[in-house]
Amino acid sequence: MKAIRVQDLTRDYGDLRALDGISFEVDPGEVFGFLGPNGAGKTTTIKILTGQLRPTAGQAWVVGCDVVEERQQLKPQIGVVFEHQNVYERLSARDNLAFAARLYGVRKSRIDDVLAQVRLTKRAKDKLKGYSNGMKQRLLIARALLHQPQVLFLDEPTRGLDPNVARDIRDLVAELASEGVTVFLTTHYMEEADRLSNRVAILDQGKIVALGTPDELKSAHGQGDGTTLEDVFVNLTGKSFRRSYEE
Amino acid sequence: MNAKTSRLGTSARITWAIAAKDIVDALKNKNTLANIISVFLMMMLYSALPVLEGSSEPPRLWVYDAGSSSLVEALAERDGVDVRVYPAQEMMEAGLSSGSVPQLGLAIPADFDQRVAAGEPIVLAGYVQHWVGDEQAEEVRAFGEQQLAELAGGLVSVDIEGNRVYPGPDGGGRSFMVTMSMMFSIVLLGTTIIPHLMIEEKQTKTLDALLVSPASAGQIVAGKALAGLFYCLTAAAVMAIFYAPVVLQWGVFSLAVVAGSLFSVILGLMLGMLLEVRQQLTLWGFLLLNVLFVPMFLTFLEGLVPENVIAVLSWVPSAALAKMFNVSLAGAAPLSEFGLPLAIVVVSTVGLAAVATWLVRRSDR
Repeated sequence: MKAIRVQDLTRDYGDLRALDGISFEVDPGEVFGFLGPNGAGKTTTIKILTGQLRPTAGQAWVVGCDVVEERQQLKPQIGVVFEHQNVYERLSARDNLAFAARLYGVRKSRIDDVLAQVRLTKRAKDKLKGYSNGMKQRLLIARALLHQPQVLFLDEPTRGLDPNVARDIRDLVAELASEGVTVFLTTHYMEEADRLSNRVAILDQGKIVALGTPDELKSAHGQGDGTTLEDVFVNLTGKSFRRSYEE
Repeated sequence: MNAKTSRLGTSARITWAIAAKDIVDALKNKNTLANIISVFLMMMLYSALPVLEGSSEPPRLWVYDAGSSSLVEALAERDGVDVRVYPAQEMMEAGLSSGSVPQLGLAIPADFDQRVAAGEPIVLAGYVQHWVGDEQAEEVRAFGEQQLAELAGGLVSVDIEGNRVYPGPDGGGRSFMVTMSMMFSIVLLGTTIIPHLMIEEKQTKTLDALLVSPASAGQIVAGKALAGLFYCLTAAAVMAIFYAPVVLQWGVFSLAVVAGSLFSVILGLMLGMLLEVRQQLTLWGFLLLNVLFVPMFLTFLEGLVPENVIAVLSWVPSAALAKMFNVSLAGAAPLSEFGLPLAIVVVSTVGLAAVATWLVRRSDR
């Protein structure tokens, strides 16, 4: 069974077509990089795959659950790290996790496990108001891992973090992948996608314009040795960016 | 059966987790905390008003003068006492029962002047409000007796034994104060705490995290409603203890508390679901409270507001709820007095709950 299967997925917001019939599959244990410029449809895709949004057309399954019809069965199977740091600031890290544990029906000892996993044990009782962005991001990952999901959605997990913290988060993602967790990753950092992802899809104006391993994409869309994933990305999505800039 | 029980158990666990988090969080949130504090300040204010009123005015005597006694005329002209004379005992008792500070009512018999002239000792029936303690009752009795003794030369004594008066279902004075206090606490808490909590979840995007958790939109809303109910019922319980001497019909009082809490909580839920930012809540909350409280105030202004206007305004749920609280403070509470107001509040609550359910289902994507 595929971890994620997407078939002809379309989503309209009024007259605007945010997703235009995209299809792809993600294998269990795979890190799947989902790249695209701002407004390409990445967050819309994550919202549909996590059951927050209905597609206008098409179908999607995550760990075998139809994201529309079997949304409640799907929820315990997935973990989501949002692009916003949506934590309860007045609570401590431990209290944030304890609340999530009650929602998921997870035993309390699991809180200590994930706190250790993201290296927040020592600051667990502190209110989040005193946390740095990096610590909050680690807490978000801890919350997403609390119920041991099969698929982890990471929406720009290193955005706005300093290089040391970003590296820390990347190491954590790599560690999770090695443990067999499927990771669906959106990011604007091409080097990050290149390093972490087994395969990458590049989305532009709601359509997938390239799909394959980073090396496959570099050889198919690059201009010889030394081509980076960023070159491929700019080559494939730059036209629409330049057009919008000129308009 | 087991699967169904398990689903119910899961649903209860999730709903309670959200409610428990919100109950604690409301005390840490400066907006909701400000509302809780204002409600208790309001309660203190309504309790202090009668005392302030009483301290600035001379003691009042409510008199039913059956024979237009010259002694009552003389009493009315004295300084340091405010005498209100009524042509019927029922009117005197109704007036006395609306007093918000301890006062004395007197029934003067028709042959009072003749008996005083004959030098006959007279024992007058004196009345005090039902909620007045024995010590205070004795104080007002002694004051009235002293006023009469100074005019009639010690022949007149006042007996208040067993003569307590109870307000009617439209009682003013203290009944009005207690009713307002209950209304403010329940309606204000229900319609402000929940929307504040819901809007904060939207603004900080924690609602997104809740929606991808096993919690359904219905469970999230139910959790918030439970937190709101907790605060409404807690405030009502504190007030019930505070106002226990005044409440006479505990059944009607409890019905009013439960129906009113549900009504205001559902209104709060709707505000929370429809509004996105705090500024909107400030505007719409202000408008809503005016829509609820202005008609309710007007229904208490009998004599100033035309009767047909009061009759129409009585159908506004807040006015109906206020009527229920008022009846709960009355000496008698026949169903004819609180049945229709209860029906109005219940039907409005069910109607609002139906709209809220539709909003939840719509928002569930």
